[in-house]
Amino acid sequence: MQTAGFLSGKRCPVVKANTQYYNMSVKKHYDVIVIGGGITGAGVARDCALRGLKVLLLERYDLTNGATGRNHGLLHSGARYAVTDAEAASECIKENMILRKIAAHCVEETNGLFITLPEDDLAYQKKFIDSCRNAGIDARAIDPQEARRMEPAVNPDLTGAVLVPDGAVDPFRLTVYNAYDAQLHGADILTYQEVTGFIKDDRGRVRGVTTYSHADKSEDSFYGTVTVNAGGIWGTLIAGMAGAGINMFPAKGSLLIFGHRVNNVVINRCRKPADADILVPGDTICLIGTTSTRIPIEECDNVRPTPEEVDLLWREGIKLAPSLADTRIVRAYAGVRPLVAADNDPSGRNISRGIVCLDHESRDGIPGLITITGGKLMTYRLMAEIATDMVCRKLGSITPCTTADTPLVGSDENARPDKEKPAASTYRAAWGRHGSNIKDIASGSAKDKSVVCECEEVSVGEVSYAIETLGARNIVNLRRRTRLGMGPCQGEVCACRAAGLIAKADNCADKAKKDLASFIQERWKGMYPVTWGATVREAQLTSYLYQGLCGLDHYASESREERPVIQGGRNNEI
Amino acid sequence: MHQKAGKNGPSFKEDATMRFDDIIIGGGLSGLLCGISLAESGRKCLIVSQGQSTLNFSSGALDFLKTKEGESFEEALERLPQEHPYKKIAPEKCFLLRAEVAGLLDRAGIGTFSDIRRNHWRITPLGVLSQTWLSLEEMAHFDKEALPEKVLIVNISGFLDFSPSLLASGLAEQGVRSEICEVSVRETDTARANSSEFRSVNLARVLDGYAASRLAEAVNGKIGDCDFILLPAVFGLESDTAAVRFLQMLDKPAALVPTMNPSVPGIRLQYLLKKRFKELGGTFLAGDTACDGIVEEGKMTALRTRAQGNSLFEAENFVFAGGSFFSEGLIAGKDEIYEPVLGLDVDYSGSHGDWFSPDVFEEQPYMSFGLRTDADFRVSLKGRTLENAYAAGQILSGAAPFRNGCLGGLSAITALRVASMIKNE
Repeated sequence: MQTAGFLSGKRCPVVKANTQYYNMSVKKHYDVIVIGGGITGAGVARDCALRGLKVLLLERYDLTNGATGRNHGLLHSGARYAVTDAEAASECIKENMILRKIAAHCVEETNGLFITLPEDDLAYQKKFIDSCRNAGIDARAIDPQEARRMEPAVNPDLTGAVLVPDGAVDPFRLTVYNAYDAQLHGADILTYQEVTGFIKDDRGRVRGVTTYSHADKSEDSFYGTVTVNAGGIWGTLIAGMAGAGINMFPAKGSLLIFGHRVNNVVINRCRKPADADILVPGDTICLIGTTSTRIPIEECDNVRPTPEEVDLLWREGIKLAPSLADTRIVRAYAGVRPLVAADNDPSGRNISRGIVCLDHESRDGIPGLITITGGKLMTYRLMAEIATDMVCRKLGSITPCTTADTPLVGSDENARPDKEKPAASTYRAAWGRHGSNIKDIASGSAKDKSVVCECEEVSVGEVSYAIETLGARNIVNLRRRTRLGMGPCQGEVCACRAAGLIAKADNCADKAKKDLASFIQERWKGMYPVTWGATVREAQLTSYLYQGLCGLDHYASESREERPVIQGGRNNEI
Repeated sequence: MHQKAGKNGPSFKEDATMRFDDIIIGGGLSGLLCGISLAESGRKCLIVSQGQSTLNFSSGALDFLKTKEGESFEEALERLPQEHPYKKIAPEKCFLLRAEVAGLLDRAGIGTFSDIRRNHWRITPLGVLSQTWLSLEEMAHFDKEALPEKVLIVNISGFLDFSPSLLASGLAEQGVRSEICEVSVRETDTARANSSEFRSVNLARVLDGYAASRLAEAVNGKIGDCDFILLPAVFGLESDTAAVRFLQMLDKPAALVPTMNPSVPGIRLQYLLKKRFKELGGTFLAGDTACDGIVEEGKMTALRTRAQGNSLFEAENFVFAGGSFFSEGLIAGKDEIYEPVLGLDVDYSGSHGDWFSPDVFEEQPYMSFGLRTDADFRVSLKGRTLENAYAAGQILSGAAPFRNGCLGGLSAITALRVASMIKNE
């Protein structure tokens, strides 16, 4: 089994900084090309790889750059959908139980509460519990006082509470480890490689794709027997390039991140799903969301929360946990759900949140292309299974899916650390993040043990691992792979340290500084809509440090701009 | 007549009254310089300090004002927009104030380098050359025409808040070659064992002692053909001489480069100024917050603090030197900007959406929000000037400190200006 070099030959991404970061063994011909490095694409790549197919995954920027990295990170029990969509609810609870097993190091088993507030109808609770049980969700009403003991942050005025098996999932880690696992099973993963067109033969069959590398500004092409479009909301544009129309309805959802982990249990409102009624703990912070607004496809590359959305999220969040009123908001961000309308419904009235797997051969007369879309983070594995089943049918393979039982790399049961053994807190934190992969994280020397990010307890050893094994090339990559800079200070101190480490590993300090400028710029974009009270202090501190002390503005104009080739608009990373 | 109830203060009960000549709110650079200047002329002063000074992020230098190539300070002052605090000071007076700042620091035992007529260059942790007016003597400061040829950049092994490679690439932009090395001594390696505490101040505590000479030896062994040595500013936390003594032990000219926070030179500056203020008989109330005051007939007469809620601090004059938002001299609510002690008049405009620029590196509008003052830096309350209450430092409106390059310098100059206004009365 290959052991090193995610996205690359070992150290390749860092040694050859501005040139390329995939290994030279990248082939030209594959069984399957997967477009999109969100959770769906990563899941498809892994499933295909586990079934012995030769896979290439192409991602325009970094993994998780789309909706995958812009949601609650809620491990849905399905309860939220129980009343309105029994099928989705039942899918959720099944996948919930599977993910706890196969992706233990990406999941936190927090449980969830559905609370009834005085302004809500308590009668809804019975219908809710009945629907949950019908969907196979273990939901039980508990005494409001018991709910308060379980979760002291909950609104003390609650009149009812239902306990469900919600949890938290780190979508970054889940995606990265699906991709890494795929790679360990022979897949090639190329990031910063945007698909710009399809290569068709004279009978109209899709034979491959042309690409543009955002890293070295070069063009390339790759060939595959089947191509899977897993581009999320951008999937409609990708299918469009092949000549297939998909009726998608981009729905923007905004969220706020608070600077403390106020709650340890997911808090939902027990009512018909509405805006801003889920509060999820995520490692050191918590998140409230979401809103839902239809937006034009052209805006998908540049979505930002509006002041009205920020206000709504804040006000509704306080109803779930009143202490949020005095908690610093560290960031506001938005993502776009890839909702799909039925083919015969151009108005979009019957929008489905279910899984949509399109065979463009039978649907549009375009052989060799499949689109997998719709669905949710929670059901990515099932989506991957459905898409891979279709791929296998086309390739004449009968290898069954094993992803429901095969743990992701890092989640094998017998790899739990010895809890009795004293260990540095960074070691425990890293174990929580990387599971048994911790064996690959150096922690022996004083250098490896040095703490880079104090909020999330990320060590130099873990940063090196993310650079060498998980393909991190810049601070945003590092954040997604280690949670560096995701805690209360949002990278205030550690961004500069990380830039220093990347510069050293990379031997390219100029790039690291431009990257640092981009990181601070992007951080501010998430911050300024919520800048009041203590957040202004934090903002001013950033300016004192990075402008006053460091003179980082010197590199501002040169900072990295990621602009997609196939559509306008500015990409923004969270 | 109480203008405003203290936000979290205890209920008012007049137990004790303490009288001072002058009371200064804020114990950062502007508050301390103002207090020292007043105390030097025999006045009895109180400084109330909450303790969140931006000196913790100091570059070890005071920027007076950015100048264009060949431009004098006077010409640059002339160019400033009317709302800038410097516009309230006559250029010839400003000249004298610059001299006064250097003299005052010298008397406080703080060695500095400055030229009253022009800027020199400091080096940022990223290796960017940035204009400044006054540098602490151990900090790297250069004429652009006289940069070293080849620099040895030394880091302490394992110290992450200083990146030699980032520094080196910035210097390379200026045509300066460099070599990078790491050194350690037993004491720094011991300190490193506590991995989350390996920060500048902890290093400085270790290196202010005997370890320094052995570290110097280690550095001297690495000099090779370099003609200059740069090290992180982790020397001389409380001692006025430790940093310079260390640099003198090196075989080539050497200087320090600021690190990421906390700033050792900034903390030492604050420490030595505080010491000087106390030696002059000043009273420094640390860790306390001004929370309420009394205004009668256009004059401020007394101040109350959170911790000394039962005491009333009376004075002839008051100086608001509590800094900007970071130091909580100003507070931003969702819909308004206010000054928390008296609710003084604040210059700001628009609503929340107008306070910030989406580009983090543009001058942010909120950075220029601050107290409205008259030509003599007197503050006002509900449109009425308070005849004995002044403002100094970053709490003043109109500074745009990054665009104008006046961070630190503005605090020093306006503090001494206010002190002179008070003394002349």
